[in-house]
Amino acid sequence: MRLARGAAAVAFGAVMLLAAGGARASETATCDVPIVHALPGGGAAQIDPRIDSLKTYLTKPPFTAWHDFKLLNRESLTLQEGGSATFMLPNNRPATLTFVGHSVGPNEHRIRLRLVIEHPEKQHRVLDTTFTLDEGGVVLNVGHRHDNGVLILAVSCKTQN
Amino acid sequence: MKMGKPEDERLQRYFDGELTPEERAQVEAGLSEDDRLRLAALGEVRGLVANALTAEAADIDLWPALEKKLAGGGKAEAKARRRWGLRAHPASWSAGLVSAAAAAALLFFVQPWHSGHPQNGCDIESLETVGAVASVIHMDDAPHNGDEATTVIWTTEDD
Repeated sequence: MRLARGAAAVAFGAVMLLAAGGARASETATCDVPIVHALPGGGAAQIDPRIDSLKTYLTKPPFTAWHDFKLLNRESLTLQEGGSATFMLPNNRPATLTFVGHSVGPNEHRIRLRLVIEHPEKQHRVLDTTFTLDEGGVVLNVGHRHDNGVLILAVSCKTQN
Repeated sequence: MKMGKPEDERLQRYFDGELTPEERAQVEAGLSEDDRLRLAALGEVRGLVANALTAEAADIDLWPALEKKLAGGGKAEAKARRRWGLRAHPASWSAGLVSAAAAAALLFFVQPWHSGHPQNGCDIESLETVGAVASVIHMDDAPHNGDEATTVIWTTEDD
């Protein structure tokens, strides 16, 4: 009887582990990465209406060094946990975003991401950073030169759970 | 002006006002558009730091401390738990009242109905660069009154 109970407990544990494993396997993040071109200029800041949600940041220092903000591209990425997607920046640098993991706890849903930007000609990584971000939060990467200005990448992700 | 390490240093010294008038004139004569952008960015960052320090000094009032007390279950504490591995205390009826008060306070201060604006809460775990210098800047989330600053990774590439 004791053996049967033990076996049942082990079987139940195995089922729970499999269920948990299945749930983990289905973790998917959708990421939005607007790629903005910031250019110098005069007068009031001109901000592309498609990036209105970034206006709060772009109208404050240090972004006031530029006046014209145009959305060049917008990457919409769907990433499985542990998966990556590579996209090309307008300055021909490949950028790779990896969904490293996801943590859920009281009052928090956090996503761990890695962003790598490569320099193909010089064969090195200009940037390789890993960070943890609130779901739907944004982190800005600024400074990659492009066409008399710089590029701004605004990385933001959400999971389906 | 072509930017190598000595030129970087010279530009920085120009920005800091450490050059002689002759050296200043030389630098100004050779400034490229990229140099001007870099000087503008240096100026903005300096202004940002100065503003942050001023704001810090001017921020001595009772409301943030009161708000922090009320928002005991808020994001800042959650962040501290993440960093230090602390666990939440068991709930009690008084915790319920405090949570209700915290919710009311957060609604009053954060006003989420005004926001289509992304929040942040970013912790940088690692940051490596090659052929570039990266700095991390935390921008105040005002006027949206978020309780987390927004993180900017500023990359300046060498030529």
